[in-house]
Amino acid sequence: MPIWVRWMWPMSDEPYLVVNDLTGGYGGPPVIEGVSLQARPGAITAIVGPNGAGKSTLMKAIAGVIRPSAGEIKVCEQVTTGLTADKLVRKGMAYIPQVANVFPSLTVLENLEMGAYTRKSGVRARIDEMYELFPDLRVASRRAAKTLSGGQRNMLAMARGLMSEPKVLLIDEPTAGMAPKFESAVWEHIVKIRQTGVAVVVVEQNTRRTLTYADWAYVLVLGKNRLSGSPAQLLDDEEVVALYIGGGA
Amino acid sequence: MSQYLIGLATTGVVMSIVALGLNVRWGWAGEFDIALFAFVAIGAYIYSVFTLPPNTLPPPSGYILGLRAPFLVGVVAAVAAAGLVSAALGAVALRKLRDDYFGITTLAFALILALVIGQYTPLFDGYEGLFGMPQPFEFVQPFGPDGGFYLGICIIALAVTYLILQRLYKSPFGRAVRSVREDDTASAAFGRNVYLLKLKAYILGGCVAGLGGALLAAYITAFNPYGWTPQETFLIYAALFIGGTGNAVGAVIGTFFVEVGVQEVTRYVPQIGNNASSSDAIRLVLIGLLITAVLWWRPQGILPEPRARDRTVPFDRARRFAALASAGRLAPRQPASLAPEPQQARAVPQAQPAPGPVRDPAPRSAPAPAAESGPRARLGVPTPERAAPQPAALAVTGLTKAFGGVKAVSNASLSVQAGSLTGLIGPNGAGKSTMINLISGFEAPDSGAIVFAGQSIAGESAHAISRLGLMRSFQTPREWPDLTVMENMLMATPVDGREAIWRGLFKARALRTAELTDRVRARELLDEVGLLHLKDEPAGHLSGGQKRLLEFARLAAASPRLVLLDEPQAGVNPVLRERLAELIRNMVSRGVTVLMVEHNLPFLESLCDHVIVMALGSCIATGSMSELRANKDVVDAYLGQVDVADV
Amino acid sequence: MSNFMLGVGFGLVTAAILALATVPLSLQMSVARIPNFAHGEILTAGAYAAYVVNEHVENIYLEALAAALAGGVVAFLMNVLLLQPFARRKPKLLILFVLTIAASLMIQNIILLFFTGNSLAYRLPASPPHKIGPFLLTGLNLFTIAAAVVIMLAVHVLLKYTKFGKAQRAVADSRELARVTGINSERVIRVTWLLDGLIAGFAGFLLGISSGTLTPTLGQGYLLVIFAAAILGGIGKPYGAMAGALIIGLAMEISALYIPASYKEVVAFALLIFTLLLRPNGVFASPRAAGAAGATA
Repeated sequence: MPIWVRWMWPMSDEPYLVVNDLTGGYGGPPVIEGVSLQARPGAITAIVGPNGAGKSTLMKAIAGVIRPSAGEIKVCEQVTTGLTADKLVRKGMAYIPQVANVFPSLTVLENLEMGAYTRKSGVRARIDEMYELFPDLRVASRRAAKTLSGGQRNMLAMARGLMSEPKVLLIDEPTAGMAPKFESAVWEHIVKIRQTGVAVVVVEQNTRRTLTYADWAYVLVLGKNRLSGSPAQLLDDEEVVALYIGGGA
Repeated sequence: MSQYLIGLATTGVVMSIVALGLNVRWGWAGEFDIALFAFVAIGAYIYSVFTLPPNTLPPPSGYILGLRAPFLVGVVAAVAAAGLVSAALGAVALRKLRDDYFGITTLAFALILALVIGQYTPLFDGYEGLFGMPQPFEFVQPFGPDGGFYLGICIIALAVTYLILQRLYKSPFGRAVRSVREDDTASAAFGRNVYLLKLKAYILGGCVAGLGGALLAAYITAFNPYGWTPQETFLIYAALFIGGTGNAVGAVIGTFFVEVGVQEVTRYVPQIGNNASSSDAIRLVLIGLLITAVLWWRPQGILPEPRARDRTVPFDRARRFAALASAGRLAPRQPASLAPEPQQARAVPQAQPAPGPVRDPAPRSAPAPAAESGPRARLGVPTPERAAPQPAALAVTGLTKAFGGVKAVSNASLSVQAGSLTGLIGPNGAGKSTMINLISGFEAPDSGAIVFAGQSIAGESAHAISRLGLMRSFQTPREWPDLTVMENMLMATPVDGREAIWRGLFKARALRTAELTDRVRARELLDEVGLLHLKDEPAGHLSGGQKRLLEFARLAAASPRLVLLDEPQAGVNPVLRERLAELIRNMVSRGVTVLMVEHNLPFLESLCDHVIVMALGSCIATGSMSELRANKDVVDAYLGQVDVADV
Repeated sequence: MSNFMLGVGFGLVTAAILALATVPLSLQMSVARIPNFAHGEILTAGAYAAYVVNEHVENIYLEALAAALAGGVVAFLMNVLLLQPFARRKPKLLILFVLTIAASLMIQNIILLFFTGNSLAYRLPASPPHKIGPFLLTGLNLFTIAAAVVIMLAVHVLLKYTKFGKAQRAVADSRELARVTGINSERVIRVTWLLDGLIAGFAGFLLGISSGTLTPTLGQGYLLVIFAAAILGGIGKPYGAMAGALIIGLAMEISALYIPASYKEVVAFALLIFTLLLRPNGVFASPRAAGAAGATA
C-alpha cells in the first residue's frame, strides 16, 4: 500500500468544516450572503453554480483571504471566523487558489518547503510522500515552478497545500485552463487525497464532471445557497440546468 | 514698507508662479514631475543669456551673446525655452511610465542638466553662474532703493498667470486634462488622446515655471546651479500638498506658507550650538513633518479642488438666440428624451455655435442640409469622422489573441447587425472580455479582422476607435470621480477641436455659448436617468447603481453608433435593473447598435432577440435564447462535459 | 591598455560599494515593493554613525558595526513608524513614494542638525596602493571589495538556503499566497527592512571612506546611481542588482578614462534613462512597458 494511506483517519461523521450564514464581499455590496455548508472528512464536497455566483469569494472568505462581514466558520469545532490566512494554516486549513497558486521563482522543492512552513518536523518525510502522490514533481524537483506546465503547476499547488497535513483542503478550480484529457488525472489525485481522510472542498466550473466525483454538492447562485444534495440527485435535476442557462424556474 | 518685507513678498510671489506651474503638471494632470526646478533654471538661464550685455564690458560681467535685450524679450525667450525643453523631455518621459519611474526619469534629467551646466563652463559659466543681469525696465524707471517697483511687476505677472490658468482650467481643455488624471482609460474610451493631453499640460507647466525662473533671475540678478536642487522642487510640492492640490489659490497660499511662513518662524529658532545651518535644518524637518501630517489627516490639502458649478442660464440671452439663429437652427423646441421615438424631432438641435472662429468650418458643415429638414432632424452632431449618426454593423472575422501562450480568443468570428440588440454570453474564461477589449481597441489582436461601419479597425488605438462612434462601458463603472456629474457628461460629447489650448484662452466666451446646447442636452439626459439633482456632485460620491446610470447618460451624450456593454447590470440592485433594461431598449430605438455581454441570463433574455455564445475563445453558436438552450454544445459549454474529449 | 585595467580596478571598487548599496534596495523592493527615496539617507546615517565611533576609537570593525546598526535602526523605524501605518490604508504607490521623500527630508536634516553642514572626514590609517595583478588598489580598496564579496555571498546563502530567505522570495513572488501558506508576510517585511538597513548602513560607511568627505547629502547624492544600478539589473532582483552594480560601476570608471571625470554620473544617469525607456524591467528581462502606476502591487 502506498505510504500515504498510513495516514488514513477514521471516517467520522463530524464535519471538519462548518460554515454558517456567511456574508462577505470586497468592500461594496456583499458578494455572498448567508451561505452555509459543511464538509466531512474523507469526502469531496463540491461548490458549483453559474457565473458570478460567488464561489471563489466564498472560498476566499473561508480561507481567511477576505474578511467576512457576518457569519461563522468552524474548523474541527474551533471557531476560525476572522482569522487571517496564515493563522488558519495552523488550525488545519489549506487553500489552493485558482491563479497565482505556486511561487514561480522558487523551485518545486522550495515550494513544498514553504508549504511546510508551519511544521516543526517531518518535512523531508512529507515531501517524499508528496512525491509518491505526484511522481511528476519528483522529476522536476530542482526546476523553478514557472517552467512547469499548467497541469504540473496545479499539482504542485495541491502538493504544497498538503504539506501541512491539513484537515480541510480548499481547492479553487483545480482543472481551470487545462486540456480536458488532463482533467481526469487531476481528479484522480483529488480522489486519492480524499482517501487520506481530508475534507476536500472543491469549486469547479465543469459542473457535470465535478458531480461525478463529488460526495456532496452545493449549488450557489448569485451569492446564495440554492440547492444542495447528492450529486446523483443534482445531475438529473432539470432545475440545475435552468439555473445555468435559464428557461426554467 | 521695509526692504526685508518687500524681499519676502517678492520671493513669495515668484515662487507662487512656479507653484502654479507645478499645479498644472501635478494638480491638473497628475504628473509627478521632480524636474520642475530644472525648468525654472532653464528660464533663469535663458533670461540671463538674452539680457546680459556683451562680455567686453567692464564688470559686472556680461555674456558671450551680449544681446542685452529688454526685460520682456528675455521673459518671452525664457518661457519659450522652458516650453521647448518640456516638450522634448515630456515627449520621451510621458510614454507609459508608471508614476514613480516617471518621477525618477525626470529627476535623472534634472540632475544631468545640473551636472552638465555646472561642469561645462563655456555654456553658462559653470558653477560660478551668471550674474549682473541688468534691472528690468531700468531705462524706463530706475529701481528705487526699496524694490517695490519690481514687486509690483511680479504681482502683475502672478495675476496674469493666475487668470490665464484659471481660464484654461475651466475650459474644455482643462476638463479633459483633469479627466486624464482621474481615469485615463475612460478618457481614451471617450476619444481623448491621453498622451497628447499630458504632453500639453507638461509643456504648459514648464512655460509657467520658466516664467518664474526669469523673474527670479531678474530679481536676484544672479543664477547658478547651487540655487536649484531637487529639494527646491519638494518644497513646492509641500506647498501644493498643504495648500490644496489642484487649487490655484491654494497653491499660492501653500507657497507663502512654506517658503515664507515656515522660513520666518524658524528664523526665530535660536541657532543650536555652533551649527550655522541649524535653523535651515529645523525648517526642513518641520516641512517633512508637515507633508506627512497633511498626507495622513488631510491628503487633499487645506483648500479643496474648486468644483465646477453648472449654469445654463445664458449670460446673455439675446446673444445666445442670435447665435442659434445665425446657425439656421431655430427649429421648434421639443423636449429631447431617451424615450423610444426615433423619428421625432430633437429639441435644441445641436447649434452650430455661430461665433464662427470657434469651429473649423469643415467638421460641422456636413449636417447643415440635414438640419434644415426640420422635424426629421436627428440628434447627434456629425463630425468628419462619422456621417449622420446611424447605427452601424460590426463584423469580426478570425480574431485571435494570446496572452503568454494561452489563447484567450481563438479564431473567433461574429457579426452584429446594425440597429440590433445582441447578447454575448459564455462561461467563465470564454474570452468575452478579451473580445470586447479587442473590438474597442484596448487590446490589439494577433490576427484577424474587425470591420465597423465599413471600416477596418483591428489594431487601431482605443481613442481613435471611439471617435468613429464605437463606444463601450466597463465592468466596473469608470466615472471621473473628482469631476462633477455634469462635467462627466460634458466630457462625453464628441471631441471636435474645442479642447485646443488656444481656443480655451481666446474663445472662452464662444466656447461657453457653444457648450450651452451640450449642457441643456446633458441636463435632459440626466433627468431621464434621474440624476439631474446630482449634477454638481463629484461623480465619485455616487452610489454604484447611480454610477451605472451616469455611464448610460454619458454614452447617450456621446452619440455613438455602436455600444459595447460589459456586464451592465453587475453590482446593480434588482430595483434598478428594470430601469437599466429600459434605458438599453431606448438606446437601441434611438438608432444605436448594442452588443451586450452578460452573465445574468434572464436579464439578457428579456432584452436580446439575438444571442452569440462564446466558449474557449471562439463563437460556438448563435440564435435566440430558447434555440441556444436546446443546443447541446451550448449546454455542454456551460455545464461541462463528462467524457474526455480529445482536444 | 594598462590604463584601461586601472579603470577596471577602480570600477571594481565602485561596483563593490554600489552593490552593497543597491542589493538591499532591490531586496526591499522585491519584498515590500516601496520605491524608497530615503534609501540614500540610510547610507548617510551609517556613515555618520561610523564617524562618531571613529572620533573616539579608530577601529574599522567597530565603525563598520556602528554603521550597520545605525542603518538598521533607521530603516526599521522608518518602516514601522511611517510606512506600515500608511500601508494599512492601501494608498496609491505614489503616496508612499512621497512619504519616503518626506522621510528623506527629515532624516537628512536631522543629521544636518546634529553634525552641521561642514565636511567631515574619518581619521583613517595610511593606506598606500599596492599593485595587484594589473590593478592598483589600496588596503581600504581591498577591504571594500572583500567585504562586498562576503556580504553578497551571505545574501546569496540567506536567500537560497535559509528558511527565512526562501520565505522572503515567496513573499516577493506573491504576498497573498505566502500568507495562505502560513507565512506572516508583515513580519517578513519588517525583518527585510532591518536587513536592508544593516547592509545599506555599512555601505554608507564604505562610501564615506571612498569619497573622503562626509556631508549630510552624501547618500542622496548617490541615490540616483543606486537606482540606476537597481533598475538596470531589474527592480526586485537582488542578483540583478549585483550585476547592475557591476555594469554601472565599471561603466562609470572606465568612461572616466575618456571623458572628464566629473561627468561620471552623467553616464550612470543616461544608462538609467535608457533602461527606463527601453527595458523598464531591467536588461535581463524581455522588453515590456512598465505599465501603469501600482504595477507591482
